[in-house]
Amino acid sequence: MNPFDLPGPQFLLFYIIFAGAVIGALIYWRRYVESSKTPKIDLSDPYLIAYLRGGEAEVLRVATVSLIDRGLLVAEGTTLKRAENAPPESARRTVEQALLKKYARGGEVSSMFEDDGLKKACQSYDVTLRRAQLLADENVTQARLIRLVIASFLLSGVGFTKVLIALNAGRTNVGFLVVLTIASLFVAAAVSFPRLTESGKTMIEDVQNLYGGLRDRAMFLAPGGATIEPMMLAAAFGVGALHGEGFTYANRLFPRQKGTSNSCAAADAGCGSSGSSCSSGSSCGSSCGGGCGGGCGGCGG
Amino acid sequence: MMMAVSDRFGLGWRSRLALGILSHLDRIDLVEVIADDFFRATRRERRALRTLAAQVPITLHGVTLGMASCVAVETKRLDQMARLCEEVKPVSWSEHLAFVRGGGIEIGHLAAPPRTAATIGGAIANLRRAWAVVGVAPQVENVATLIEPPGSDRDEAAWVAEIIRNSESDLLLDLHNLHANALNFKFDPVDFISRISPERIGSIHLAGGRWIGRPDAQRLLDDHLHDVPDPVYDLLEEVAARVPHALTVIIERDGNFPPIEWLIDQLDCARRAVSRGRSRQKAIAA
Repeated sequence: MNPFDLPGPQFLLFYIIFAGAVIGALIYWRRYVESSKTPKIDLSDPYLIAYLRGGEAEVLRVATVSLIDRGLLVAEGTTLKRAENAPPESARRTVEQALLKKYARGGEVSSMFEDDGLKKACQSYDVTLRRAQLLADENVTQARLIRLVIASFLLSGVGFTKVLIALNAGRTNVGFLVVLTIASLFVAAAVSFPRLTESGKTMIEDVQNLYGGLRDRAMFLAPGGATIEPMMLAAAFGVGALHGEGFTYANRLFPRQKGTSNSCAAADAGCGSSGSSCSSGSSCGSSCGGGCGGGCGGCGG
Repeated sequence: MMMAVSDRFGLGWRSRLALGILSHLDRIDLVEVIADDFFRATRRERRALRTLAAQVPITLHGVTLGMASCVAVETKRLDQMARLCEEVKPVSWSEHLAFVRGGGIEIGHLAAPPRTAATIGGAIANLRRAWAVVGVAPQVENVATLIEPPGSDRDEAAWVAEIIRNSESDLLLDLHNLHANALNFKFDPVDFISRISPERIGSIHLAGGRWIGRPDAQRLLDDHLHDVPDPVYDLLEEVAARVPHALTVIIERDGNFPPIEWLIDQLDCARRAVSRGRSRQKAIAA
């Protein structure tokens, strides 16, 4: 059966299925070739994890919270100001120093996201993650482009061949097919260029799984910069995950908004589970003496 | 410090320690993961474990196989362990010389079986099956017990040594379990160590515990909630003075977590103990 012989409505149905198959194959192909071996990166660097999850904006959010937590930045309403006696050199990281410089005389929080200097301060994370093939580098982007060209050729070829056949037969009711063809090209383009590679997407999911225990303890994480646990929680799940009383300012400064990557729900990779596996584990259990339950082998191990 | 090139020192992977461990990989050579937590894990959770394994070598530690039993280890559990080993590619895997179920009842405890020829035979048969199914022989760990297993006809050292001698499995020597049993049943732990072939000691566990019971009948409980006591480091030195090959030393901590630096310091104590033992070994050889 030649699909081009199909009458209009049936051909539209055929084209929808065909376009779905092509776009599905495009997604599968990309995922397959971009699933490289898990790279070794510094999973203890909150800013690297934040960049992987949401780019510069996430790094700036996490860095801001970190600086406030350490008393180097002061938040008043939606403005930030560098604390007295807190020169940029009092922070170690480039992005922290850049934030302290920017807010030396105070300013609106939201202005950080348009600051080119701050974006530049995050560049090292971009380089590291592209090198690890977790973000799309030039080669990956080129390969994606080639796949998109092939998919576009198929989608437009089939669509416009039918249009030509219809026009030659004197039928002009091809509007739906033209719209459908263009729409499928847009969808193909949209699914071809995600920020993260497939490895990057799985890496952030894995990080969320490994640090699932932090989210379980979010209410109890203490402010004051004694540990980097709150920062890693914010890096892996978004500043919205900081539920503790000491971090109420974080949600005030960076309120959750639909369509932003402030919350983990909006992150590229979505939220990880609370991690019952990687976050659990005991060869003995803490209840020895009182008896261990479940599949735990109990004390003595 | 003088140590064999590949002596390795690590911590048990626990949720609370995740960030601390990943932040100190310059001082942690490997982590030990409880295998049973992943037998029914989702694909995503197992993939996260593979990601962990890409960052740091891991060893898998089983707690529910029940090797030291006249009852055969369940094939399903061995298959699960085999699949996990295949996926994660650990540097080694281990289980306890204990039974954990009987008559269909999960007892939720790593119980020491009667030390008899029958349990030796059962353990050897189970270890051989585990080796056959998983493809790599497990290391087996001596367990702590608060009572002498009833019906035993030999002491722990003889029982463990015979299992090790007649199987392909090396010993994962838990020095706190040994320390606790030695105190509870009044035997010399160094004598225990001397009765095990040094070539067959593969890994070491260190942990802490606490005293329980009436003042006149106290027992040291291996609860993994306390720091490694000094006598355990002394035993580690003793082992390092005898074992000719590289050792893997793991500190187990299951709760009452101190700051990670505190645990890293304990790893350094272990490094120093091994170093002292290696120095003694070298001095004797010279």
